[in-house]
Amino acid sequence: MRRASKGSRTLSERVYAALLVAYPAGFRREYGREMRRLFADRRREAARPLALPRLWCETLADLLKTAPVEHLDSLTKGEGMKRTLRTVAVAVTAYAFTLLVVAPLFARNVGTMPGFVSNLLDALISTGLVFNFVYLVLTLPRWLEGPRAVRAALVITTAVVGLLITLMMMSGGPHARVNLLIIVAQILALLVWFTLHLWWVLRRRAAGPPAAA
Amino acid sequence: MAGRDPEELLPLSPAAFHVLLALAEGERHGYAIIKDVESRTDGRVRMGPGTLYGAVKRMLDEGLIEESDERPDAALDDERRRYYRLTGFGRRVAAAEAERLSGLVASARARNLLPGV
Repeated sequence: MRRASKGSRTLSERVYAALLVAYPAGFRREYGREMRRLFADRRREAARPLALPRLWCETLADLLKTAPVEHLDSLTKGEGMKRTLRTVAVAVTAYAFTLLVVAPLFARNVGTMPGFVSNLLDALISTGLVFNFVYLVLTLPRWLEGPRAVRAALVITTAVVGLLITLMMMSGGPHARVNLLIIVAQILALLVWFTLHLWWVLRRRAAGPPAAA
Repeated sequence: MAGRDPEELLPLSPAAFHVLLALAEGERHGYAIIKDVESRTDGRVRMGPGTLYGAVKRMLDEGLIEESDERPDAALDDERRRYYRLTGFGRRVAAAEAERLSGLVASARARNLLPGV
């Protein structure tokens, strides 16, 4: 935990900076720098033996106690509450519509569709469900915001879809042979959801700053 | 904030009251606040960054404290630090909370829970 070099941050400071992701993005944006500075000040005074483990115990307890409070605060206070309710309402409606209307319609008509079109629609539905769920999980508690959240959702969804395709290929069942068209359709679907979210996020950013958390 | 009743915000959280006490003597940055709290409580209260800045955020929202643009001594201090100071309303809320706690202590004394004066 010693200083790596003069003027650089110690390992403890870097770890604490990374742990700040536990707080809502708005809170981090407003106080993250001050919190890192405060931790660095604390770390510098922890020269005695066992002072550093004690500092870490106190800091982790502080983080576990206060991060949920800040999340609750950002979800329920003022604009935060309105935004949470709006987002949850949109998500529930979209999921209900997809699962109760779009998916049954697709299943009924899939036999009459050209191969690649059915692959693409199938991919749009399945990756859409995963992508939007991941995006919701990342953004609702304000862990991530903006293009960063969209990029993270793309990475996680790609990993999930890749894992599912691999498992399917390894299972040896009736769908074991995953052809190239299915993979191309999945990639296109991922790009569609990524582009839609990125467009939406950039459009909102251009419209004005986000509501204070 | 002039028209607001300080009693509306009582009781204060211990963290908030500690911060108000620290700022009663003048403006301070975060580290100076927690050092003040530590020295006043003989090291029994050690506020972490999340506790301090959570309290600071809520007190800024309530108008109990405000951020200061002035620096006590730019040559001695790091001007990138954020300093906070009490507002007039914050001082009245701190006084009301002190009064409330004082009343509680008096009740405890009356019931022989504390050594008499």
